[in-house]
Amino acid sequence: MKKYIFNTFYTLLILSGLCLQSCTELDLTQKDAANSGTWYQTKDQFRQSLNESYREVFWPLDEVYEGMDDDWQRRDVLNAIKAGNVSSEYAKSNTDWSNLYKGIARVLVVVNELENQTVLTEAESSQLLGEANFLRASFYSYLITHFGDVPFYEQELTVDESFEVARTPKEEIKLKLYEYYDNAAATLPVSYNGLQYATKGAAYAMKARLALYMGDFQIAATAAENCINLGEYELYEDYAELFEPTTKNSKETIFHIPRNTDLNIIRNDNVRDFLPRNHGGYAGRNPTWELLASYECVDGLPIDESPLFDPQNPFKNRDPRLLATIAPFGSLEDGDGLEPDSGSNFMDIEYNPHPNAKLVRDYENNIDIRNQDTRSIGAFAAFNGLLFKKGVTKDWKDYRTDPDLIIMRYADVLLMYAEAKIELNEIDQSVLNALNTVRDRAYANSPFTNPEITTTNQAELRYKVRNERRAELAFEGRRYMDLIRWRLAEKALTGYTYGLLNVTADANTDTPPTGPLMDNLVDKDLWFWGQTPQIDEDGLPDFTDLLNAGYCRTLNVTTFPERQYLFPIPEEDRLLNPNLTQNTGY
Amino acid sequence: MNQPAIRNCLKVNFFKFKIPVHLVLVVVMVILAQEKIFAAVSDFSIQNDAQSFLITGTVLDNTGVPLPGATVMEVGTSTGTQTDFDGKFSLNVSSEDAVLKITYVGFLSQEIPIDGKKEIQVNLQENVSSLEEIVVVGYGTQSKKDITGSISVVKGDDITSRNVTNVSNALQGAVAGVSVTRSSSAPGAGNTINIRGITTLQGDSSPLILVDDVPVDNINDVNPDQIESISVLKDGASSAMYGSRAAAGVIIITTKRGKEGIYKVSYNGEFIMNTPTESRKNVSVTRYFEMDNEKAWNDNGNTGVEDPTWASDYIANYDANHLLDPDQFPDTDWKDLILNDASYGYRHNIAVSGGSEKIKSSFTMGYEYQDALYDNSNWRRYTGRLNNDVKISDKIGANIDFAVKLTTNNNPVIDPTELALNSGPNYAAVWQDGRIAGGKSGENAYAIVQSGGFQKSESYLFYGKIGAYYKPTDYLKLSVNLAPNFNFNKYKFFNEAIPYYDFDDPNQTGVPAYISGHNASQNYLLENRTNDNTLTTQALINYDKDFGKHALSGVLGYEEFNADYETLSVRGNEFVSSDYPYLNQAPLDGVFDNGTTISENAYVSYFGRMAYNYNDTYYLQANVRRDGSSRFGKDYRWGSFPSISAGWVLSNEEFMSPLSETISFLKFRGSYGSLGNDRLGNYLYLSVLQFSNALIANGSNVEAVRSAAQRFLAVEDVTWETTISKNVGLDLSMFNNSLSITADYFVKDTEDMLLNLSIPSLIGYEDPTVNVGSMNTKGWELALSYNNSIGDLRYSISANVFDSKSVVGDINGKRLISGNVISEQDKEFRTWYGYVSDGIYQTQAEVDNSPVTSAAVRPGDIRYKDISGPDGVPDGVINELDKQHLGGSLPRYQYGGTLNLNYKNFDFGLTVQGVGKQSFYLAQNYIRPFLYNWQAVNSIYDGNYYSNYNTPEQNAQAEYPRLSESSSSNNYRFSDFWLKNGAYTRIKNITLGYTLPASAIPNAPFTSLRVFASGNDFFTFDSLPDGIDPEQQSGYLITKSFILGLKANF
Repeated sequence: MKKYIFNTFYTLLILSGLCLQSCTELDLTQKDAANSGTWYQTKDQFRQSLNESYREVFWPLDEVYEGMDDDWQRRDVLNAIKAGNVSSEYAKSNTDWSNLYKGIARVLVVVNELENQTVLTEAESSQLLGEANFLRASFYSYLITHFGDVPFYEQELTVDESFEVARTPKEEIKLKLYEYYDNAAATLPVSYNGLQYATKGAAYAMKARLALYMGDFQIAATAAENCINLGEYELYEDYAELFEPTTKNSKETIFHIPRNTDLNIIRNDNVRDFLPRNHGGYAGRNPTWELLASYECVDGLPIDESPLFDPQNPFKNRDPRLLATIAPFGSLEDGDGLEPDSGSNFMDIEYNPHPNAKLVRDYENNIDIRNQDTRSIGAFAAFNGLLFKKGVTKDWKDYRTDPDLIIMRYADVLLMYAEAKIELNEIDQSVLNALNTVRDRAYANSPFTNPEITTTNQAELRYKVRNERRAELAFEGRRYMDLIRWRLAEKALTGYTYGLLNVTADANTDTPPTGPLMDNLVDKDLWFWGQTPQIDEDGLPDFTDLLNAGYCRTLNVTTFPERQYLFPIPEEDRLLNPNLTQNTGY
Repeated sequence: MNQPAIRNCLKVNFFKFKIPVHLVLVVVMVILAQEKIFAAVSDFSIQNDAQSFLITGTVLDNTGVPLPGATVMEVGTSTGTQTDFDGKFSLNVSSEDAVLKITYVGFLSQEIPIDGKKEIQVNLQENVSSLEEIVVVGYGTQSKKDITGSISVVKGDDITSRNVTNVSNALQGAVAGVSVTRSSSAPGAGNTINIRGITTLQGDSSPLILVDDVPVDNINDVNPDQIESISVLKDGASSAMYGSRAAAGVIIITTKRGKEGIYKVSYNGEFIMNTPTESRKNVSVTRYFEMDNEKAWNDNGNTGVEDPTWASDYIANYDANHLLDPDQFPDTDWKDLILNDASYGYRHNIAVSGGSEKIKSSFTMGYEYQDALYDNSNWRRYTGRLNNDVKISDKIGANIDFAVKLTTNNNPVIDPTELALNSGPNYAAVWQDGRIAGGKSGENAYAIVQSGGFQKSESYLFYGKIGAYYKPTDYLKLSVNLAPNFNFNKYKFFNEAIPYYDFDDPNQTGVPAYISGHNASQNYLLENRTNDNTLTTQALINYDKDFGKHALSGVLGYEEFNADYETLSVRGNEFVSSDYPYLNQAPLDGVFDNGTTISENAYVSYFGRMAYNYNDTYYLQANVRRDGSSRFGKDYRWGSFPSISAGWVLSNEEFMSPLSETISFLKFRGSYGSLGNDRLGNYLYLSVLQFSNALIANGSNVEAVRSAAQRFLAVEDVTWETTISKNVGLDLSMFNNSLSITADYFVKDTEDMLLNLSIPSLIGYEDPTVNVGSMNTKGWELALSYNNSIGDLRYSISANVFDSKSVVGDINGKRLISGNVISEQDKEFRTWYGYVSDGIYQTQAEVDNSPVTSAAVRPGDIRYKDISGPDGVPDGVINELDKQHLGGSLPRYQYGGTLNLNYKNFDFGLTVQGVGKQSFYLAQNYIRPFLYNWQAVNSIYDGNYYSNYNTPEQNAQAEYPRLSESSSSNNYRFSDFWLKNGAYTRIKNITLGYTLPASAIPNAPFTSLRVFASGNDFFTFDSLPDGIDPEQQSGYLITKSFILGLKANF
């Protein structure tokens, strides 16, 4: 028995020794991440925290797959915006909302830490704070222009507060945002040696955009003027080249988010969907006929007034920016020898949607290939014959391309300045100069010269500047908010989307196409447009006459109900926070 | 940013003791002290007094097979021995009138008077009631009759008789309270296992799985053939020994060990054929065109031509044209092309076991192969296990167990099932000359399966347990165990570019287009290496002693657990060719990190159990476990989890003796226990900054700079969630143990529940993990079994049914929304949450006169009820405020049953499993026509939808909404319109076997040979639309299996 006790005790000693000494370490921390308790100790750490807000995810564009304005359409499919059925479950508004608030929270952490820090110099601290103000003002700007009144906070919310916070009127918020931009403009440098973070010019320009969207024309004009007066920016010489992936951070760029294929950050909106089918794309996202119709002729007149317009050659004698924006076909200018059934070289393959063009030229290999981009071959070739071209080069062919995401460029500032001054009815030479500077560049590399704007009539200029914005900024994500703030969305986005008449799709190149497209249009030598569409007093084209004449067909019925002038407050946040009211009509 | 406590309640913790080791010592001292007190009574030896009467005998089972190792004792003395290999024994007894008691595990013990005989033969009867069965409980064993908690046991034979690859499949319907949910039948696919419902909102609710007392990740890593038994610990008292990790229940797998005796070898082999239980069927290509036209016409306001997309002539001539030129006029049966009629597999298992008194070993080895329903996919699993029991002396011994598992899985880069079932028929997959076609603008699952690259995974698992024990006395055992678990995974994903050319370009001279996701630049390789290592160390003291009518047993233990997990992930882009899928063939600047991760966690635990019974009639048991978890902050990481249980065997009471003919055994039991759960992420309390990259211009260059951000809110005082589990039950055996009934009622209350609090996204952070709220789960279980025989026909029937319902308690008024389900206070956990449908609009007037979701709504769209608004009353608008609870989403009233028949050499088994109530969501990928604008149309939709071509009477009968893309956000938003009755009953398994006795063949090399045919999931009864299996989720189809097998013993 004694032995048992001894042995037991001995074993227990070993066991308990094991317990007390080799106790497993329970203080484990994540080895591959930092800890907020030990962060914000060096300048680099502050810098890295602010870097976060320069990621593309926090800079949404008003672009969606199926198009949310009258510049884009996707075959016969509608996004909720144009179908008129945006609801609080609408994916885009919900994603933008949560991403922008993430951006705001991440900036606020830095703002708060800057107040208590002891490691930065005054200059370093105020530079970072200026940047932080620029960033949060930009995030909030998007929110109030799209959602109207939103929760606004300058200190991080606690969890409990997030369940209770109510919406602040956008008129109050915007005043704060102007202050943020002013602070940013006061503290940020005009330019950097090295990494290009937000600048003074960016703060002025973004403030101008917010003010313009909010209808504060005086503030907008001043901010735009401040930006112009920096003398830092000028227009890039070649409009078409400006948007190409190889043009990085041009002298026209005021604020942008870079992309880089080698660093695996690419344009991620499924570019394959709008490339030509002859290049393996889907030709699914199409510029609208309305956009094609809205460009002026080279005499400065709208197409329904200009004697230069030819509905059978819709790209002929048009504002050169059209040819850089939509892939052209047919004759392009008088005497070029091209006919309505001709195509144009686009990425080394002829682009030609004409139903008789069943073969097109592959200029690279010098052969004729079957034309997948005409509907007489492929049923899913562009439904309206139009393809996106702006900035598209051959390196888009593998669907990985890295053009800069331009948030703000100088041409926009000039147009904002002009618009604000026009709305203020302070029309002077500086307004006309701003407009004509933009137009001069547009015509710079073309056989035509800018038909200068000379009128000083407010209404005429309003028409001009609005159309100028549409032409200059197409597919840059600005058209949607322009329609919203001009209260034109109901008109522009209610009606139909249009497309080419039907034609039989037969891949056999020897079989002549048949169908209403041939009978009503091609065989009567009326391709591409049977007649000239009318342009109304707001610059919006109208295809009713063509439809009634049987020259085209409608693809969808579009509706933009009045409620959609604001996005709905996201469903999930409303279900969680009872103090969040909903926008009218949702 | 750290958040202050959300929990306000102040807790008094009775079980906080700082240095429990001291307590361990105290308890041991008490044990040793009382040993002195009882020393007189307990002095025990096997030595004989001067005896003169020698008896010899043989112990056999009821079929005449010798039972080695049976215990033979003279009643009233301590004289005893054990039978040898041949079941023989000899024993000196005190007199000719001595009575022998013979006991053997799994058999009824017998008392035999010698009556002066020199030699006797004893035939033990198998104990069908299994009350004497030894059950593995936490860190020890107990006799089934002594159990006071709620524990179910499944024998290894019942697992292997299901003929399945995965243990979890075999548990489906086998145990009351255990719910096993499949989602696919892909080779090697796992299942969701829940024990007695769900007690945590967002934490891991899978049970703790132990193999021979060592935690493992996956129940399916164990070859079913290696299993001796499975214990399922269901209530708090049973699983409290595993405290912190046991809130979701515990499954203990015990593997086969060698028995003393001659070495035995057995082989079993099976051939398996799998075919889908159901699959979707689609409308013909011409009907597809017609319906597509109707859709476009509807979306154009029913104006203009009615064949806007596909001209009428084109459709009319299509079938004829298809015969003339299938390339230009494709009619592709994607399902037939991609999915095979059946998949095949086989498995082989070999087991060798036996041993001497000193060393007993069991070695098992298994190999299994399965291919899939589509090409280029197969799965292999090799398993091996060697269990050794080494006895050095009566007091010292060791167990040395090793197990290995290797799984290889080869697959194409996608699971093509969904696309095989859904691709539109008018797109060509291959041209007539065999070249790949573009499918739908590059969407071609067939091309991807055939030539899109491959993915390959290899998973190596080495685990085992080395234990040494010391028994200073026969009632005290001290042991230490060391159980490492090394898991290595190697995964390779190679994506190949797939060019395709036009049908009339057979020489491929033109410009190629590429299959989606397989562009010219998308030759890339992804390599992952994962190391997942755990180490469990244990020190245990087991005590078990009878003092007359008092019996006392206990366990004291200490355990440490460490886990570290590291993944290396590298991607190489822009491979020049696909010939060498290795990273060194990627261009230098094309190789980069693809999400390397590292994490760790650890536990330290102290635990103890004390069990007492008086006269096998009154039982009392107490457990306590104290755990420290690395997942919580220093001041919040320790939690104590006590439990207590009691039992009363009524049938042992005097006053029940008149009923003993009828009632063989009756026990009431009750238990109360507290359990913990911490499984919701590793660094919950730390405000972690995650790194990423931002691009910033530098002149006209672009640089990647590091960015850092805290993405999740951290809550410093996050700590254990606790589940209090209460259980009452009874075990009843009647008619000489032929009928047995087990019934249980349980209540589980979870407090301080860990959950990712859904916070408004306007706060700018992802949801934090906090201890908020409570949940209540109530349920019951009933299990019956009956065994009997009619002449040579022996039969047994068993059935079980159970139900549980979890209701969310106070979660600070928050609502947790996850897709289409919501969890909120006083409502069932995971309730469907959506709009309430009100049929289909028949006329424009109906649309005009009711609130609609948008202006796009037309007759033929689904109508919803306007239930609420900002002021709590209908507001004339259909929006998120009109969403309602649409009933629970989890299965209810689950049941299972078996019937086994044995007649002479034939055996027959039937297993049934089912769900009594379930609300099944008919997902869009199954029912929605023209999904993504090009996918096929389910044939059950055709003829059953609202259409302008129908008569008003036909439309009134329409089951589905009109064809429309513009209204799809109205029609396919989540509502009760798409919820169907998902109750089902399945014949899980039917087996017919024949055992060829060795005597049937002269000089047979085997001792027995059984051949059998078996079918799994052959019949299913449900009320869902055709083509969908009630267990089917998206992806790989649920299959039924036909199995032929043989098993030989040597």
